[in-house]
Order: sequence, then structure tokens, then C-alpha cells
Amino acid sequence: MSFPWSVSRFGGVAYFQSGPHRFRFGRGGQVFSFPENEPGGVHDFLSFGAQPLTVFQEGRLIDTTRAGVTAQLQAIRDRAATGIVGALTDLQGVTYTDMQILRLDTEVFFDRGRAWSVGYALMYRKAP
Amino acid sequence: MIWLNPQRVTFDGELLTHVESVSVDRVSNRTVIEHGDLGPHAVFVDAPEQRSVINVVRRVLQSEQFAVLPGDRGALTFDASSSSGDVGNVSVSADAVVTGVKYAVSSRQGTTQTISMIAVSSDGVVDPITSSVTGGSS
Repeated sequence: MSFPWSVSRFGGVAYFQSGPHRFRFGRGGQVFSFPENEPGGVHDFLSFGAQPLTVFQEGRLIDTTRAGVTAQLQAIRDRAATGIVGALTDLQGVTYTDMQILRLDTEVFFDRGRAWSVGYALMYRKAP
Repeated sequence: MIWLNPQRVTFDGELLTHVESVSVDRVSNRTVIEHGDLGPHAVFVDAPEQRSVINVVRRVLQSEQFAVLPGDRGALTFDASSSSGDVGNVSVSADAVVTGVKYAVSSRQGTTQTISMIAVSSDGVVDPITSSVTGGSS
């Protein structure tokens, strides 16, 4: 299965074209902490620099067979396990370079209604 | 689906008398609704968990102690006329579990009993409600 709305890619591969998905940004600002003995002292925080760009993606992989969904999921799992940096292009065609997948979560069950499908969530972060 | 005035209605081998109708409601237990980033409308909808709820409605003509209880499992079978325009009768069967037995008493409509069941599929894929044309004219 493939749907016309799905043009997103990671590392040049259209892993997600079988089903709808959405993107959102993670936290911005700086990475900081307060010294232990001065709680709440906003002028005394320790900054560790800017938050790296974080992008979250949630969607659903769809196929006519369970094996088809499993194969799609495995391809993403394999890519996520490597930590290899790549360019992420979202559905609007915006590209974020030097991203890597930090986390892949899937729904507990594969669904089988009219089609086989499973929901997933990905967390990308810009590589240091 | 609904069958009016079905004949020879049995559950777990016991004859159910004065049955007015047998209906099957198809209900989605869980619905998957997905949206994309490009617009407000759902772009994928599916019903991966479904129930087939059977309601057997009987007219009760006299006091009775009904033996069927929630949790009872058995085969529900009956014969009914085919849809309008079709020839012959249909024989319908379902493996089902009783989920409720309720009565409604009305001075206008008399007393009715509704036996509610959920049909059980043999493997989750096969439709738990089966029907076959048995021949003959309706």
C-alpha cells in the first residue's frame, strides 16, 4: 500500500509511505540545571547550551498482510538501531539535516480490520 | 441484519417459542482514526475490533422461568424468509454467548423478552454469523 500524501523520508528512504503520520517539534530553549544548594535561583542556573533540535513523529504502518507491516517495522527498527545520521524530510517537504532516531515505540497490538496496521512513534534528535 | 418472525429458533438445542425477531448489530469495539499533517480530515479509519451483538426478541404469553443465563454459550439457529424478492428461506446460525436476558412489560404491547448475545468467531477472522439458503419459496 502507498498513499499520495506520504512524501516524508529519512535517510532518503520513504519508510512511512504506507500510512498517515504527523510531525511535531520537541522542547526548545537551553539545557540547564539549578545548582543543588540554590533551588529556584533563575539567575544562577547552569547552562549546557542550546537544546538540540528534536522532532517527534507519530503514525501508522499499513499493509494487506501482517508480514507486510512487520517488514516495514523491521526496516525502521534496523535503521533506528544503527543510529546512523540522515536527513529527515517531513510532509511539508522541510528537511532537517544530521538527524538520528533515538527511540522507536510501537502500539502493543497489530490491528487487523480492513487492513493490517500498527501505530508507531519515533523520536529524532539532531546529532551533536 | 434483522429477521422478522423467524422459525424454529433454538439456543443450545432448546426451542425458543414466540420469537418475533432476531437482529444482529455490528459494533466497532475500537476504531482507528488517523489524521495527517496536511488537513483536518481523517485519512485512515479502520475497525480492528468488532462485536456482533444478537438480540432475540420473544413475546411472553404466560409466566415462565427462563433457564438461559448470562455466560451461557451455545449455538443459536433459526430459519427465516429471505430478503424481499429472493426465493427460498435462509438458515442462520451462530455460536454465541448470552450477555443479558431482559423483560419489558407494556399494557399496549404485552410482555416481551430480549435475549442479548455476542457471537463468537471460530478464529477471529470468520464472520460469526453464518447463513445459507435452504430452498423453497418464502
